[in-house]
Amino acid sequence: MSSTFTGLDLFGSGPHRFVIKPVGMLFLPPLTADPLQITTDVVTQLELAIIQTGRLVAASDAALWALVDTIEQKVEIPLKGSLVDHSGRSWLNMTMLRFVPDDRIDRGRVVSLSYRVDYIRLAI
Amino acid sequence: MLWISPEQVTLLGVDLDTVEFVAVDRKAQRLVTEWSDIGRHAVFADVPEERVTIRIRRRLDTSIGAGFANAITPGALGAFSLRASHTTAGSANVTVSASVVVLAIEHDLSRTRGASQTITCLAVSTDGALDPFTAQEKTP
Repeated sequence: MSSTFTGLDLFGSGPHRFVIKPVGMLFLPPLTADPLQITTDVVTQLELAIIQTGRLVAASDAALWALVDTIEQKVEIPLKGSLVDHSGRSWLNMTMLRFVPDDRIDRGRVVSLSYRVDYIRLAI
Repeated sequence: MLWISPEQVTLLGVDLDTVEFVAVDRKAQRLVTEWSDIGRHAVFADVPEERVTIRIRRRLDTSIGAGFANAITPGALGAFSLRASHTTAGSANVTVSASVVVLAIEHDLSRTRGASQTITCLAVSTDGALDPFTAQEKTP
């Protein structure tokens, strides 16, 4: 199945993968803040972060830019909702915070662009 | 592509004689591959950057002096052209051309094969999209 975000298939033109960032607590190990800090300082709970990496694929430059423009419109809002991966696993209340395209568009048999997307479940 | 004993080979304005063969090799300079979260096999592959090299090998019957070395040197940019005809009746004559940058001029000497010279060039495109190598066939 194809992945979706807020029910939209924004990245279905090409392959992509998901990885979950560390979960748990944000903490400062001993001696991080000052020389007298001798115990671990637990700051707060980490926000859930998921990184998506993949490649947009299109038949032409114009078609690829149309895909990028659509994503740009969503990420600048920024869009918030459910993220569903290929296997149907769902993460609720995720915000698409950033779309980072690679430093070049690849023009071979097809026109493609590697990218990274950052989703975070914002605490506030 | 490979031409054995072509009729005429010109590189950077120099006519090269006793050419044994000219080979045009195409390789992926950059390969992009992608895998998915579904399984272990690649789901996408493409070659957005390609390297077209031309190898000219010729037999040397005489010593080569500084004049040739000054004309064809690594980094030099110029035109390459080749004309080859087939001996089979009705087969086409081929004219190929490319803009090239010389990469290497190498020599070899062996007791059985004698002296030979191999010139390797990189074919360059005018804009990156056009194929740097053109071949025209003319049927007699």
